[in-house]
Amino acid sequence: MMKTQIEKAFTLSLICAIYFNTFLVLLKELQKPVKQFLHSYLLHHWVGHGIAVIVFFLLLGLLFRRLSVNVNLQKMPLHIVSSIVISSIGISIFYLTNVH
Amino acid sequence: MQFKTVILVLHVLSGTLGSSAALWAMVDLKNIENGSAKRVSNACMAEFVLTLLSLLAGGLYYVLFYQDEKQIILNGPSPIAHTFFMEVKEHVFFILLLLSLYLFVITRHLHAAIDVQKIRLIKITLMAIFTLGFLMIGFGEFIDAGVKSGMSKFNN
Repeated sequence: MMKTQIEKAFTLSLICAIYFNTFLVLLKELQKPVKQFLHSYLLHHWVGHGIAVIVFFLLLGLLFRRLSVNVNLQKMPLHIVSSIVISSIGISIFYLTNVH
Repeated sequence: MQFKTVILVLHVLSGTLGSSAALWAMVDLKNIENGSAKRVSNACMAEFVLTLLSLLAGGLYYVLFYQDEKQIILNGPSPIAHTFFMEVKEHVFFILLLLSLYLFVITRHLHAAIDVQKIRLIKITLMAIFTLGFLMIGFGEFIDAGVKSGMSKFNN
C-alpha cells in the first residue's frame, strides 16, 4: 500500500516536472531577467535550470505522498508518454521558430 | 589526451551505456517472475548512475569549454547545430534525467510479485529513456558536424 502511494505520488510529480521543464525553457528564453537570475547564483543558467527541475520533482513527489494523492495508475503510462511528446515537440518548435 | 576530450568521451560513453542499461532492464523485465527482479533493479540503478555521470560530464564540458565551439558553429555554415540541436539537446536532457530519477525511485525494492500496472509503468519509462537517449546521441552527432563544418570554413 505504502509502495503504491510512492508510485502514485512520483508518477504525478514526474508528469508535472516534465511540463515544468518546458515552462521554464519558455520563461527564461522570453523573460531575460529569469535567465539572468538563474545565471547569477550558479556558473550558468543551464545549471540553475537543472537544479530547479530536479528540486521541483522531488519536493512535489514528497508533497503528493504526504497528501496521499489518488491517481489511476492504469492511465499513467499514457500521460507520461503524452507529457514527453508534448514537451519535446514544444521545446523543438520553440527553438526552430526563435533562432537567436 | 586533453582533459576536455576525456570529459567529452565520458559524456558520450556513459550516455550510451545508460541507454544500453535501459535496454537490458527492458529485456529482463519480461522474466520478472523467474527471479530477474533483482537484475532489473540493478539495471535501473546502473541506468540512473550512468545518466547522472553523462549529465555531469556533459554539463562540465558545456559550461567550461563549449563557448568557443559555439562561436565556431554560429560563424560557420551550419548555425542550426547550436540554435536548434544544442538548445533542444540541453533542455530535453532534463526529461531524460527526470525519467531516470523516477525509475530509480520506483524500482528500489522490486520483487517477483510485482503487479501489471507497475510493470507497464517501468516498461514505458524504460522505452522513453532508450528512445530519448539515442535521440541525444544523434543530436550530439549534428553538433559535432556543426563544429567540424565551422572549422573547415576557418581553415579554407
